Amino acid sequence: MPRTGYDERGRPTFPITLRYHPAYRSLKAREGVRVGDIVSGFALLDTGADTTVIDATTALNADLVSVDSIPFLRYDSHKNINSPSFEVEVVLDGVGSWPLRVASLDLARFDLIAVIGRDILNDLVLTYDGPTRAVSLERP
Amino acid sequence: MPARDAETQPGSLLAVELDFYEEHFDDYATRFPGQYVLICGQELIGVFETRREAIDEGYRLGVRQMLVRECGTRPEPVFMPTLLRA
Repeated sequence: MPRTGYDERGRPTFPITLRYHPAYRSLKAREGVRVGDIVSGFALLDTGADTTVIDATTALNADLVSVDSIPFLRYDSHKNINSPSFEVEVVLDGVGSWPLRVASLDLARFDLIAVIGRDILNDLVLTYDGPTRAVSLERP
Repeated sequence: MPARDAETQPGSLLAVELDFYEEHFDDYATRFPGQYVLICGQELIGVFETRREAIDEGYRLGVRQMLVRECGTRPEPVFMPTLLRA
């Protein structure tokens, strides 16, 4: 069963790869252009996040095409903030892959390329072993 | 309806498309219920039966950004990841 690591602050992170969305890859393949992986790195597992978020700079550098906007609830204001959303395929190494729409926020300062939210975690069994501080993921 | 009060910075990604959609919100809801609009800049590119069809058309056209919405809807606000709440 794939297990997570921890970052320097003790937060559970998991190795992931971001890929271009299958629909985009298929369209590009018909044009004779091959696209695949965007970037590999680490993602934070966040059961409190409604939706998966990728790093905004990563999205920009990959020339991802924004397809909509997702409003995020702010805690310091009564107004929400809009974040562009993109289609990607999120691959959790050794667990599975999820083509989905994701939001984008500035995560680079945390050395993360994504925060994995419940739109993915709801498909998985997440086990937290407190004494060893190990977290494992399994797709039932 | 949710998200009407969401804050979009002028000049930010999709700001033009979001303003255009809001300007035509009632019109689209009446004329194209249950269908999906594809908006690029201040132009309605097309109306489609599914979100997938609308996005694929945007990809095919090679646009750099697009707004695809089910007519008469706005996305529900979601919680910011815990990491970014501080």
